[in-house]
Amino acid sequence: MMLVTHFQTAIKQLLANKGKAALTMLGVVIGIGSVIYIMTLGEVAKKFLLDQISQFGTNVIEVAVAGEFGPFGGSEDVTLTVSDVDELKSSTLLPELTKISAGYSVTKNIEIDGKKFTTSILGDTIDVFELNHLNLMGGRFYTESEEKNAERVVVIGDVFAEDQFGSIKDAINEHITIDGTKFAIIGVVEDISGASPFAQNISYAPRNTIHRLFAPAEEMNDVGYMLIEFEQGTNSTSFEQRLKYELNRIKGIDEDEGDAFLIVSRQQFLEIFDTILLGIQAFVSAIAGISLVVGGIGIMNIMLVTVKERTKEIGLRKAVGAKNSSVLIQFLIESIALTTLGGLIGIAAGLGLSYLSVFAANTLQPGWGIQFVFVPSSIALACGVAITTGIIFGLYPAIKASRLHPIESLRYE
Amino acid sequence: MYYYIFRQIVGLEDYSRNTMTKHTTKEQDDPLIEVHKLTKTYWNGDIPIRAVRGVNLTIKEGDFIALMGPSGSGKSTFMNLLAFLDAPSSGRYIFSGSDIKDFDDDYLAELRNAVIGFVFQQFHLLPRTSALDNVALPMLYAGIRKRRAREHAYEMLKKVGLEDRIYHKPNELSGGQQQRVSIARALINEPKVIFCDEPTGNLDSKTSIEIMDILKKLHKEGKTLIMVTHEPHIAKYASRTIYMKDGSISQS
Repeated sequence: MMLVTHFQTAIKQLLANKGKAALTMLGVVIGIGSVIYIMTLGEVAKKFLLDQISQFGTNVIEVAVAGEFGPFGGSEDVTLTVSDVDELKSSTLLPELTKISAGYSVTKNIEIDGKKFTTSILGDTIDVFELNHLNLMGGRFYTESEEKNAERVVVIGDVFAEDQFGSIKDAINEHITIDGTKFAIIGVVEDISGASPFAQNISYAPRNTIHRLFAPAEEMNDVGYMLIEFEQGTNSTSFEQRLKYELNRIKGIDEDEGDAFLIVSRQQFLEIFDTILLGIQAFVSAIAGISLVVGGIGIMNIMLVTVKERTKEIGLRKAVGAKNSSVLIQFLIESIALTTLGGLIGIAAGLGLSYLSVFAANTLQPGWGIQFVFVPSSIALACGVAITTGIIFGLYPAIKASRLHPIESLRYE
Repeated sequence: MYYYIFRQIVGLEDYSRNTMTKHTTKEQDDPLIEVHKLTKTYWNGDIPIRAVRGVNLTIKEGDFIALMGPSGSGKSTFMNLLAFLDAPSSGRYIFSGSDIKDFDDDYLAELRNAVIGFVFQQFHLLPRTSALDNVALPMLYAGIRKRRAREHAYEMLKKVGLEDRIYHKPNELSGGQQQRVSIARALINEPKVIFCDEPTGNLDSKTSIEIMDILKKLHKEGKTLIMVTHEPHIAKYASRTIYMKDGSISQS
């Protein structure tokens, strides 16, 4: 019944001590602000990654030899070859398998009109274009027969084409010299390095061509990694297990010896990212927690000072009929008002800062197209935390105020 | 809300706001306050300080009492006991026919709110709060809605001649005006007794007379007033003077 009045008193008190209140709230502002910031940026990053991944399809599994990626117990001797790819394609255990892109990548010196560069060229089957969702900007992709016959044709990125030939149209049918061999540019694709931080500026050529021209004898049939597409709606986990079994069978590897292959589904990738994000969020939350405790102690301190300063007022309120509980609630509301205001400022600061971060990222990487995500749950959480902080740290001063004796308080100087 | 509940507990349900004045005039001679062997002992470490030492006193409805005595005589402590600001150490206190036995904090707060009005030497108005809201405060603690409390507060301020100052904050009012606001506040819950603790102690002599005239008028209207003062010319306004010395009544 007196809650509104108490709230008005609290606001009046806040306005009367603006500077003091602002300083006191700082800890809460920082604590709440960082919670909002990290939660919002986490969601922004998650949405960005999800968009990236779903753009390439979630029904894709990547396979690489584990040894190449570091000390995960894989054997360095295992290599994936073209015949392994063919065996997987015809496997009865993997009926859902639709496409495999298995590339062999080289980094070579190239020459255009006497100018020299270094670039990486991915030798792959024609499936690479579809599996990577590459957009053709001009010309054409190479064909199956060009792949089979090891024709010297190349598909380049649009940025590269525009830089070197002025326009995409001008690049088509031009020639580049790769390591002394002349290649015809037959197509230009949208450069995915702009849209994705995970892809580099690369050119594409038939795998047979790259194998024959550039691979050393012992790597003649090797492929670096595989991108395996399966039918939509297939159970990803089951497919992955069968794939692993087949790979081990084909390469004659004992499963107990550890994982020879690194098999990562897009789904898994998302889960890994989620785990990392959760770790970061927990860490930042811990720091925010410390800030809130420090801020809370500041609130408690200021409330104790307030109670002391307003002893006479408390005495008067009691004299005219305020019960202990009424005084308790009054001071509790004042500390809650402090932390809630601090929380609201923190929310605004956190949102503003994360919006600014997204803006900065988009300015630096215009191609990424990062979208700002508003997270209502973080706002609710922040409000809850702010109010709880006010209650926890306001309770002791409020109890102290409520227990003051009316006469002693009235006479307090 | 608890205002009404309280009246039932204490057995004061007869004294609803409407019937109170009638009651006061009808039974003018009934004792409002009766104390028997009332004591209050403070402990300063192991040393007992016997501030009030077994006082017997009867105050009738409509009395205007001046409580006098040198400092340290126990008059303030005695007034605090009568005004339910403090619990006695021993003795009986019969208020308006009810034997007050339960002295817990909440119960005393309810009593103060419902049947006592206070006028202090230092006014004790809430800073940065309008005269209207200062006067309305006791009514809010009685559980009455703010709008109604403000309407009542306006009537009370009118009664003390401050209807053109209702939105002024205490620091915008003179001492006399502030004391009139606190008188209005003391009156708002239509108390049975108004306690005045040195009401003119902080005022010049001209303003003192104005304030005392208001108190005299309240007495004429039938209010019961108990005033602590050490100034004989202020005590003259009272209908009865009680002198205290060493925690006992020496002369009345």
